[in-house]
Amino acid sequence: MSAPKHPSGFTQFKLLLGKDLRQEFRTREMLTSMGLYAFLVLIVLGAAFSQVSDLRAVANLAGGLVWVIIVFAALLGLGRAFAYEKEGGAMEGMLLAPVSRGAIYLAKFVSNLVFLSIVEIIVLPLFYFFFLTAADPSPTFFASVLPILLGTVGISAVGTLLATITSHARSRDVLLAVLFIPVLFPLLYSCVAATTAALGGVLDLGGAFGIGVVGALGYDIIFTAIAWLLYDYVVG
Amino acid sequence: MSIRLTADGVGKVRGSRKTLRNVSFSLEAGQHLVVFGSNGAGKTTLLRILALLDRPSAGSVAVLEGETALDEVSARARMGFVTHAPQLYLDLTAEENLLLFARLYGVPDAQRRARDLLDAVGLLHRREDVVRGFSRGMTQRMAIARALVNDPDILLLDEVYSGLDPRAAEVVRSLVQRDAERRIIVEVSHDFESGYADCTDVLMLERGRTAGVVARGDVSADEMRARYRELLAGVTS
Repeated sequence: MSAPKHPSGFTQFKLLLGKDLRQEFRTREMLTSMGLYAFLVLIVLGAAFSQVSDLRAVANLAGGLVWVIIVFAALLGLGRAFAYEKEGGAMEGMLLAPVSRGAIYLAKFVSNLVFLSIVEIIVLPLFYFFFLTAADPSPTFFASVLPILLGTVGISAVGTLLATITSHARSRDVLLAVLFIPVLFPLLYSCVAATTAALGGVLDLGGAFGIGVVGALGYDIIFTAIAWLLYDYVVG
Repeated sequence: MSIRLTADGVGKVRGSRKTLRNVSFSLEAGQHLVVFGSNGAGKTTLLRILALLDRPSAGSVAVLEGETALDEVSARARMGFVTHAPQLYLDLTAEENLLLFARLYGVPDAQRRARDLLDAVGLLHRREDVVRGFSRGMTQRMAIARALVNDPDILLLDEVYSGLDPRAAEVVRSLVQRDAERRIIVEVSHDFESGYADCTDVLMLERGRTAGVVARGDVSADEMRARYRELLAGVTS
């Protein structure tokens, strides 16, 4: 056999991302559990607001409720993000190979982003159908896509790092939640503010929407860079 | 250029327990070191440190090409490691697993390499089946194929024959022994007879301690067997 030639970091990233997507689309374990969980949260919210006579009042809370669904669905999915790696000891095989730790992180981050986005694409229209059809949508309704997109990127970036840290812990699901929510809080706050503003029809670039979007963007850039840099130390 | 694997005063402390103490040796291509010892003697710890998956608490491990020490990434690229876990993705097919690892190692013509290895371990006909459905023996053969995908100069084996039926064990043995003259092999074994039959050197570990590497030709098989029994008796008594 002729001598191996180390693949570039981008090639490694593509290989690892392809592996994650192939496995998930074959088993659909993470997508099914996240999707079902998000749907159940919708049902619970439906029960919680069942006695509200005027559903237009719920529309004022919609920005926050959207993020309740996204964060809890993400927590469940991230808890399973390394299930495939742990099960057959594959993570060790990966670490033994001359693979850039940055490529491992980025591939897992992007795959988590893809899976969470798919769940959002399915569940958020249902949320709209259940809770927001009583009132006419605001003219700035579609601007809510921007904070949702930025929030999903941040959740995936931070969540991937924290899921790796907690993947060997005995109570990893609890530990992940305990670490995830406080670290995520600034992003969550920014995204709720921007989403609420967009759904409420107030697209003020100097106000809640603009500050929320800029805050979320800054969070994404800073925390993705930190997570990428720290990953080598985390996986050893 | 010839490759060497050296351990220099390697020690490992886990909590308050010393699992390895002052292990030293130097191996060259063609040497097959078998490590004997009872459960908890530190054999797996030693292998993980040699594989650069764990850092020693004391001493150092180096992979040298000629007189040049390789960096960690280059050293890992020259190794294959078979542990208790198969280190495979159970929901990928046999071929997908080997292709993934072959491409991550940058193996030229990865497809052909994967097919050749599947053929060598007798699993070519199951190449499109996911590994999850494989028996213990088939999974172990896949683990060997994965470890050999980069045609490693250093092969680390942790009780690689345990749980295999005689035919599967023979397939694995022939793969391990193939090209053994240009590889460094370090094998942890509980089976004295099979381990001793294949090796060139022996290292006995007892509670992390060792008296050093003994060349197989320097001590008769009977004496080595007696030492091994003493070692086990000493630990269990």
